[in-house]
Amino acid sequence: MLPEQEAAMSALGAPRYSILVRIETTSQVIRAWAGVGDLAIPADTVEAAPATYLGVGLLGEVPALRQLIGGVAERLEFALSVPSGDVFALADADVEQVRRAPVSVGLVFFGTSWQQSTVAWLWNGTADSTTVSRQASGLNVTRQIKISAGSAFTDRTRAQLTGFTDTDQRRRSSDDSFCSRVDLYTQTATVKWPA
Amino acid sequence: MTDVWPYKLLTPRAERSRLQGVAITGGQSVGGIVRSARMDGGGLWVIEQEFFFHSRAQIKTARAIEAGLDGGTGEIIVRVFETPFAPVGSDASTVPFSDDSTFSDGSEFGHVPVGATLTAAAALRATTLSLTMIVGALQGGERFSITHPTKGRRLYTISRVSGNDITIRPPLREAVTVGTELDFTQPSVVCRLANPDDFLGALDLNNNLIATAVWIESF
Repeated sequence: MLPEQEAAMSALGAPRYSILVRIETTSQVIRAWAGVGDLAIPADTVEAAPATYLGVGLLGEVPALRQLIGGVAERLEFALSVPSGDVFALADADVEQVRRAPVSVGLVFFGTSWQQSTVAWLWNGTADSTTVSRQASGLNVTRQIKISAGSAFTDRTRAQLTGFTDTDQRRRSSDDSFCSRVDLYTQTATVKWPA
Repeated sequence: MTDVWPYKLLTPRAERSRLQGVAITGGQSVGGIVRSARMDGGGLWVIEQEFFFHSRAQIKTARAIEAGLDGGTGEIIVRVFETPFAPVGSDASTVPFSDDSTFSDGSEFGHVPVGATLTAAAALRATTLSLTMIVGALQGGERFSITHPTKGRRLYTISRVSGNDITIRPPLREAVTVGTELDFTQPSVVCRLANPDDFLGALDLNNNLIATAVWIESF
């Protein structure tokens, strides 16, 4: 958590806050928050104009957010619980509208009488694929659509590096001799550099 | 137009209404302090009512409503019991017929005025309202309804009274204008049935039936 968000929470005493998720597809912007009823958010860096976030019935699950530097880039799945309606079409017929859609996750802070004070946008990513999950146990059927989103570091075309032999490195870059001495090393011998 | 629960015919014998919310805690610290955070933005009405039906009209009406609610997808306006707590005046006034005529002996209908109107507009999610009472005084703890143009009938409870200003929970579901009426006598809220499978109990040999309803505020 950023220092200014920490300060905002402390200043408000007993923390009252909620989570915002914004998914900007080509045809519509899905705005959902974890609370109840409508929530009006003023214009800021993410929202160009004041917008209304929808409460109950849309936001199912927000995963834990991480930012990694030099690690494996993360991929998150947001769950929207939609038994019906046009949002469901996004996962079914209008998949193309979701691909590459910007996804933003933020926190909204409230004062002691639930008057909202600040909105802090925490994470930006790009939506990728959508899946429909349907679970039935007895007569209870729950249906959600899950939108997979990656951060700016996520790219599925690049595999994680596994082999570090000279052959592997030359396959990646033909004139790179960085790993040329790897085969001189063994587990039991220490070779002076340069030998 | 949302159906209204026939409260006079199907009166609950017990009820419990509450604002259900989501609070998370960070556990107890070494000093014994438990810090908690609330994430729902004000909560959602959940009303549990228990009914004892014994007449033909009651059971048939309850069955008809159950069918109309379509397994919990339909909406209905559910009323909560508030009559003893409404801020009524002690002086009953009288009202004539709509054409100003009276009964043959010159008497009019007895009428106890109740209610309040807002003296200032309030925005969506406001929790402070300014009002003027028609009669009586507020003490806090009363429940009332506002009929919103798009969200329909919504239930609120008064947590604090300060002169003509009241603090309410949950935050307003929709913005209100000056002159909006507050209904203290029949507070009700648009709900869905959360337990359609268990709503009507078994009918016994004496044609008695116990019904339990769990209503959840609908959006």
